[in-house]
Amino acid sequence: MGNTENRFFRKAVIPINSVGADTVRRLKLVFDMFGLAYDTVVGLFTQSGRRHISLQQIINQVLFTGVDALIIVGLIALSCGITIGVQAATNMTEIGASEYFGTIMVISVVRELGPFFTSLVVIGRSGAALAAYIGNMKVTKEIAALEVMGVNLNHFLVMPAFLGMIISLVCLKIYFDIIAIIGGLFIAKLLVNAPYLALVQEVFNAVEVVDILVSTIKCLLFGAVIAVVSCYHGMHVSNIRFVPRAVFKAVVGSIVVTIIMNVVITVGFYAFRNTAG
Amino acid sequence: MPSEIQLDNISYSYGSETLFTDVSFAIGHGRMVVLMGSSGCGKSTLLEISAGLLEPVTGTVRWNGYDIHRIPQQELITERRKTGYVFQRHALISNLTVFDNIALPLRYHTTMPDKALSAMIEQHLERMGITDIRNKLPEALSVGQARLASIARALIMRPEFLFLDEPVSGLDPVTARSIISVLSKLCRQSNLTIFMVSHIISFIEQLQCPILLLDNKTVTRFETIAEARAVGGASLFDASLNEGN
Repeated sequence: MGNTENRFFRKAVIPINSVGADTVRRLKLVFDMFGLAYDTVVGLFTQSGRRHISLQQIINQVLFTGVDALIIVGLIALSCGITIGVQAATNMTEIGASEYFGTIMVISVVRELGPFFTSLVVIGRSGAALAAYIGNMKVTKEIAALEVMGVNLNHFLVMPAFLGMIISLVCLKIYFDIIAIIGGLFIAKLLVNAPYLALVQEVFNAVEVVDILVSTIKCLLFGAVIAVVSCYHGMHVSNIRFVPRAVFKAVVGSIVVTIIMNVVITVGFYAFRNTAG
Repeated sequence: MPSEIQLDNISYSYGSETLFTDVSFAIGHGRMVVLMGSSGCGKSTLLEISAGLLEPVTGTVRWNGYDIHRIPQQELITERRKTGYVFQRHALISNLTVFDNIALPLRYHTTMPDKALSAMIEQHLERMGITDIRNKLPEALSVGQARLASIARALIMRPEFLFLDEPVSGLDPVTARSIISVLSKLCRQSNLTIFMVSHIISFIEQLQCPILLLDNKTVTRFETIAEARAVGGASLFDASLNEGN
């Protein structure tokens, strides 16, 4: 009887325990990341943080994340713009709504696809590289060396990555918008033979300050998330075997949070607009 | 207050494996002490605990009377400025040149003008005999050059405590001799408290300093290597500690 009870206890309680432990672990991870994000943002506004932040490290981050990604972002933007241009130019002409070409380009490229696709490229290139770089620093004891020198890791590693990612993402997004719209206009001109000037005019008429504001807010937040998630996973590598795992976690974590934030901001924006309008 | 490192009842385990228990010792102001022991016995772990990089399972570590695992973060950063640490695998920041690596703690903790900072670093580079590698990245350095650069970085803030993990392991005799000469001079001239880990007997013999032997999960102090050999057993030295001798 005692044995049966024991078996039942094991079968019933152990899974509950493991679910509980997993939940606690994930909650701790989320709180730790919020803590890191909070320390980083606060650090940017303190004199000590600003004094210790390295401009060279920020420039390096911008060069790697922004400048080196121009070709891949350009290619994605061009294919995106051409695809949307083809769909908008052909289908909308059929239903007699060709005057909305500009609106479609602005909504899809500027407000939605620009920030999201750009952040995906940054996650795949720079987020992964940052997690691997910091993970390797941990393994080679460079992080321990910084600690023992009394160097605040937030100042030296996280803040430059944080600012570099945000600056790069905002610039890459503007670049993405320009290339995608040029691609869309080019294909629309080819397909429906509308005058360039009229198409450009439609796009400019459709752009509102709020579109630029929303997409810039998205880029700021996505850049911050990518930097914090990647730095966090890099700093929690315990040995060399876990570097690839840290990279994987940084990429997946950044994508998940970015998707959730994108949905929340978009839904929030439309809900606010409908309520206000 | 005299500079000293004091460890009381330190225990540490990796998972279920206990590395050492109830380890207690003190290193006085301006003294140099070497920690010896066979491979894998926990020498580097004990050094990292002493330097405040690892927290022990039980026990306290005090620098100048401050319990470094209990003091607030800001005070710990201030205390850390008084220490230098030389890692076994140099741990130079990979994207900074030797000059920038040595300048890092100075730039972070002080507002020293560039000219004075450069002069100070040049002086350290000269003392270590590595002026020709000042603009090289760590990846371009030999093991010996990287170790010397790492020692220069550890000394740049004029620390009160210097921790070294296997400072001459894997080095050629010439570089090893120059490190021995620098360490001996430092101990004599600048009242630096040095705690190091080594398993190379010829090196320890040249330093002529007290020895802590980590064996059977505990630490025993000896004043000379001959005493350690006599009490600890010659077989222990011959079997486990003779590498590089």
